[in-house]
Amino acid sequence: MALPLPVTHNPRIAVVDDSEAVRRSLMVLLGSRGYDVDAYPGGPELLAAVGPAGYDCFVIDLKLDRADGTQLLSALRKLGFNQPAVLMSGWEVDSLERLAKQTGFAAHVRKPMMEISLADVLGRLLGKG
Amino acid sequence: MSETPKTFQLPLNQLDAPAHQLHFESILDSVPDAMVVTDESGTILAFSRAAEKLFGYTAADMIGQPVNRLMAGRDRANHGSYIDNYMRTGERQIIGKGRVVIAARADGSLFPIDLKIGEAKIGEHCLFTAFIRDLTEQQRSELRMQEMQSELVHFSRLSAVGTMASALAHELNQPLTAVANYLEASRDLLDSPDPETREILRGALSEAATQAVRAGEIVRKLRSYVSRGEVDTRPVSLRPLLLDAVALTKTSRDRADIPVIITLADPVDKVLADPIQVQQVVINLIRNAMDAMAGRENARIEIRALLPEERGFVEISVCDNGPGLSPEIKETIFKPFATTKAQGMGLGLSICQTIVEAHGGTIRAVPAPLGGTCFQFTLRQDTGK
Repeated sequence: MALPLPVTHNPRIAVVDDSEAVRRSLMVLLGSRGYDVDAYPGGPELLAAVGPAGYDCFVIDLKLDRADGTQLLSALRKLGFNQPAVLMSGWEVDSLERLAKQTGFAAHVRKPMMEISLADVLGRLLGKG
Repeated sequence: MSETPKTFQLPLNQLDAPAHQLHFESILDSVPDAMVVTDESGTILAFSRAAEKLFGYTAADMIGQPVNRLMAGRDRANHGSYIDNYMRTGERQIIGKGRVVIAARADGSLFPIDLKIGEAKIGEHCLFTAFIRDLTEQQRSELRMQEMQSELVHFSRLSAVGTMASALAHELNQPLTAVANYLEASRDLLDSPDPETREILRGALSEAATQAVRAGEIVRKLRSYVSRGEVDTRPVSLRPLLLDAVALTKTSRDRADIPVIITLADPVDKVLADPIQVQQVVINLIRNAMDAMAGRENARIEIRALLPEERGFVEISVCDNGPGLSPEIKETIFKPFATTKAQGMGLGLSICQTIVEAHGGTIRAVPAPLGGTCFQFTLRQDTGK
């Protein structure tokens, strides 16, 4: 049985990605790993909806419609949300790795996630397996 | 010429019949192209109404003046020796052939012209009559359009590879990411006997399949996009195409000076080509040749077109008398991003190759008879079928 019983609170993950296919698939994947997932198409939607407790982790795509993922994380940090964050990116240059670290991302996953699974990265970050 | 006649007098012979004189003056007033008559010392004897308008001088200003005042750069400095050479050797460099050269207006501005020179022998002496077609005025919009289109072709080809790769990666990444996520979730859910979980599993697999199909559609779209890029050829006269290409390379001042000589073998007429693309090839080759000869004395470029042994083709060569290619460079010269130029992208020749091959021709570099490099490419001959 992969799904843990909802006795304690499941870690809550916010996913921000402008691709609906990616959002839906991450909800299924992370849901199957026992996370509660909220998915947002962009930064403004997340910022409008995020409650005072925030999330246990933010999963943010680099290329968003109106702003990029690093700007969104900076905005979250300014608002006092200091939970770990994971950057997803597609076709970007290697210097992105450094930028991701500078902005405060705990991990960087390259789409299409064939090499490192986002679920495994989250498991490491949040102490789940 | 010690005296400056106010109007043109047929000189040096005794054709003083007033009817001839009147006839000639009416020609000067009405000939649509600018017309300038000189004697064998290069002194202007007649200056037509259209020439006045074109150059900004009056006939009275110019009659008796050396004709090289209308020229620019190297031609201006060397015109005397051009005439001397011709008078001594009888070798025709321009007479009867026509060239695109750069002329200078009264206000010092430079502009490209199509220059044709005719020669008349009157007794012992020669008269030269130049007919000047202003490429700026007559073809400004056309040239501008062509230049823009060439630049567009150039730019789009330059950036096409990078843009396409990036767009393709982005488009494919989304469905592939979804597929990877769904399958990973499915593997986790596989062992669950719980009907609800199995329903999630079913959904995940069918979503994964949908996304894989989407990735396939992107690839199919790409294929149709690429195949649309085939060239659309039509019969095109080679001479005007080459003249325009030369004029386009001469519109920048530092390059106006290098003479470009076009020679078409008699049977060469029309080729099957997309003129904009082929012009792009010629412009790239001329610019390369000009760059190869930067700062060199007696630099010149020869463009020749002839029918090669291979039937059904026209061979066009652009030759310079620059330093030539070293063997190492020659190996990589058509490869993208191979360049010897500090600011070069190394794409010019690979673009030329792409265009020529898309036209069904070939391109190669060979040592030039002038001691530099010849780039030779072939195009299909238009046989009217």
